[in-house]
Amino acid sequence: MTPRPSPLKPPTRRVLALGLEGSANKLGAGIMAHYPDAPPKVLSNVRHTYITPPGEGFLPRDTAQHHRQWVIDVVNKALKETGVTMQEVDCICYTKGPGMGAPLQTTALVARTLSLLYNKPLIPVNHCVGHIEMGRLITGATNPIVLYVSGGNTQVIAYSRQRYRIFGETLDIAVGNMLDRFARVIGLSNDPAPGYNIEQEAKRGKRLLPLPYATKGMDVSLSGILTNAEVYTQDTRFRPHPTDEEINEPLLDVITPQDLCFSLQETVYSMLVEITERAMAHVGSREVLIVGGVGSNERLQQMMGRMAEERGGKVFATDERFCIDNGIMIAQAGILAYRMGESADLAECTCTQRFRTDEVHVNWRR
Amino acid sequence: MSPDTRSQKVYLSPPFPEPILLKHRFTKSYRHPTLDAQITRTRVQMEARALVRCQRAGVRVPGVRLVDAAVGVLGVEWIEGASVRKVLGGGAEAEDEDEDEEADVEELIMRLIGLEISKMHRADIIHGDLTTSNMMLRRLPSPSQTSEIVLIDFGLSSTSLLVEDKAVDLYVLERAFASTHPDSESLFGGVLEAYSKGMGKAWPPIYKRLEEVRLRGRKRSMVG
Amino acid sequence: MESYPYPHLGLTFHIALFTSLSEPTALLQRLIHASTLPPTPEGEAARDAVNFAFIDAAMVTSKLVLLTAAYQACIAEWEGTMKTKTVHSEVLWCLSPGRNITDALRYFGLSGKSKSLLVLHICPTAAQDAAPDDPQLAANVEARMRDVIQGQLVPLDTLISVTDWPAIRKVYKLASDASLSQIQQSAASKEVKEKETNEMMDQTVVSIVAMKSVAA
Repeated sequence: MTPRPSPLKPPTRRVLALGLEGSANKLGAGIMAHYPDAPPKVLSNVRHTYITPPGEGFLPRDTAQHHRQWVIDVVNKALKETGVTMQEVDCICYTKGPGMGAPLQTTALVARTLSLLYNKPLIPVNHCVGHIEMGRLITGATNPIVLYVSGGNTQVIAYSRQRYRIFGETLDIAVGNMLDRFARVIGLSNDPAPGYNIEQEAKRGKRLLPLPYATKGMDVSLSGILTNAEVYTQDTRFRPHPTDEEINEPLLDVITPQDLCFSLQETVYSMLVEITERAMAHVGSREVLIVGGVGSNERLQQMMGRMAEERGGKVFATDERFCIDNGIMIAQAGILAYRMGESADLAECTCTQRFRTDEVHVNWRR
Repeated sequence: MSPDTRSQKVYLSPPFPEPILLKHRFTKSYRHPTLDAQITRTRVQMEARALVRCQRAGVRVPGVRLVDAAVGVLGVEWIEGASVRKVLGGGAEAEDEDEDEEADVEELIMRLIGLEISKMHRADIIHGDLTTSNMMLRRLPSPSQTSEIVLIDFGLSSTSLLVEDKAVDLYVLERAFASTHPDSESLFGGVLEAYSKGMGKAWPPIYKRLEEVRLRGRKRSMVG
Repeated sequence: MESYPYPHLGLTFHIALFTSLSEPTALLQRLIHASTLPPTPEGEAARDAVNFAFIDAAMVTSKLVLLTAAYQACIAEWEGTMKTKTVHSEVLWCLSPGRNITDALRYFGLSGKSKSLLVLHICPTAAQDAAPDDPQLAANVEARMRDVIQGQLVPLDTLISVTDWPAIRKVYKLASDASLSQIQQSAASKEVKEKETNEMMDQTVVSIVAMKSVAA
């Protein structure tokens, strides 16, 4: 049986897309080029992150303010790096959702303004689909099971019949959200990212503390882990500011922030790998693609790699340039839709906080 | 099917007449060894406990035959039959059957599923991984013409009085129906109908919660 | 007597049912006496002669229950988690639903009131070319059992008529099981109900015995 031909025809000339991302605390702009006879190319990928002080999360209003303040710089830089002008760009792609309301509105407003100023078609993009399409492009994974892990999302996704279908997901809070909140509980810095700092602390953890391992079918529940980790910080054995001896001596009966980070990572990532493996077994796939900000975690990648290896498969992950929210992924997903002849009227170019991955008609895949 | 276990049909003392199903839980090398040993032990333990609780509550499940939690082995009664997933998948053997008759059989299977789950939930047992692969249609020895539904694979089970956990259990099954049996809404409707009868007064709050869980799953606020 | 070889364990379980037991008290005295003898050759010989599990047959619902308990006892021995001193006494512990060793012996072991007895011997499976006097040969095991027990050796199928079902219901605390009331509510005849109830009790007891090591 010969596979059906791809519905996506090669472009007749170079196509350029500007992608704008601002659904959470990262503001990004990137320019993607697709060619008739060469692989797609990332021409630029610029990002500016709103970083809050330790112990504080980012609030929608302040984040939107950050985006307004930086958006001109970020877009200009993206254009300058490529040497192309706005006139040469074929379409403007922006994140329609899901995400935080105020930052999304800011980004959509910028996209609409640029569209009117330069008379360019607008392409609204689902943020999650952006992650998936960018991951597929960078890694070359053709039809992987996707683990999408970020501040707002925890999903196991498989492609079938022109939809990215959700096989498993969190039943309560997203993994990134859980890590951010935990980082706040133990007072870790938000720079460069709370999850990154948890990963560094975890490397010095010695003691595996029991935390609720809650997989339910292909879904996970994560809020119990956060609650339990918080309870450990009230334990009399907890040392908020441990000495080197307290960190390194495995026989001392103390609980350090490093132990908590270690236990948290081991437990949570095991759960995520387990539900991914279930989905792989369910659909008979051997490839895994990890996308989303938490996907840059090396321990998660290592565990996923070990699992995939045991199944005779392979794990694909991208580095933080493409894993963490960025504009180029929006450009990539948008340019695919644009090449399929899609564009939206200005009035349709709104944004929405809720936008399921499986709502998007993926007409560029067979 | 399950990536966690390898199962085989064995006779402990051949030719002792009754075969058993021996389930061996894999060690997962990606997990921290301490965590892995703990999970393996817990799952064998939870599965064995749930099976006995179910059995005593009158839920059709395989009986326990052998437990070696330290090495992750559970032996259960061998069930002769096919998984509901296979039965619903149709295939060659279903083709020459009368379509009406087939629909009747499917309806009956859904009713039996709903009934068994209601008995399980009345005993406050949560399966944790309800899929059509985890239900067997047991052929009763002739001359009996009837079949019965046997629930299997309790490795992710727990006990709970909470409406939430029962609703999530149903939601997991609903999603499994949707992902493996396209156009399955009416089938699942049949399951819920029998389930609601079985649950009696406990049903309305579970139904209400199920709708909430569905909403949470589908339209949960997702922050990028 | 029936013999069940377990090839992967390298062991054989020999089981015999004796009814019309005479002088159970004398046998009990002999067991107690043997256990108190010093570790001299004579003492060991006395112990070897009674090296069986003696189980009150009224407390066993089926052969499967006994084999299941014996298997779990072997796992415990293998893993070094036995609660009692020998694999034969461990079988009694495995049969008992509780955590109390004295209760296990009291309910399931030989007593002065025992009318019938299940005798179990677990030993390595005899080699194919074993000499006729090899103690592990089934015929020799049976001969040793007959030597010790004053009663009538009957086929194991007789067990079902020996079982004290009300006592089973009580000791395993099955009275409030929904599985049993479900049968009582069915439209079947009294005889059918009784048969089904006993079968269900047997099935439940097998599961309880099999999972004792992980019971709540």
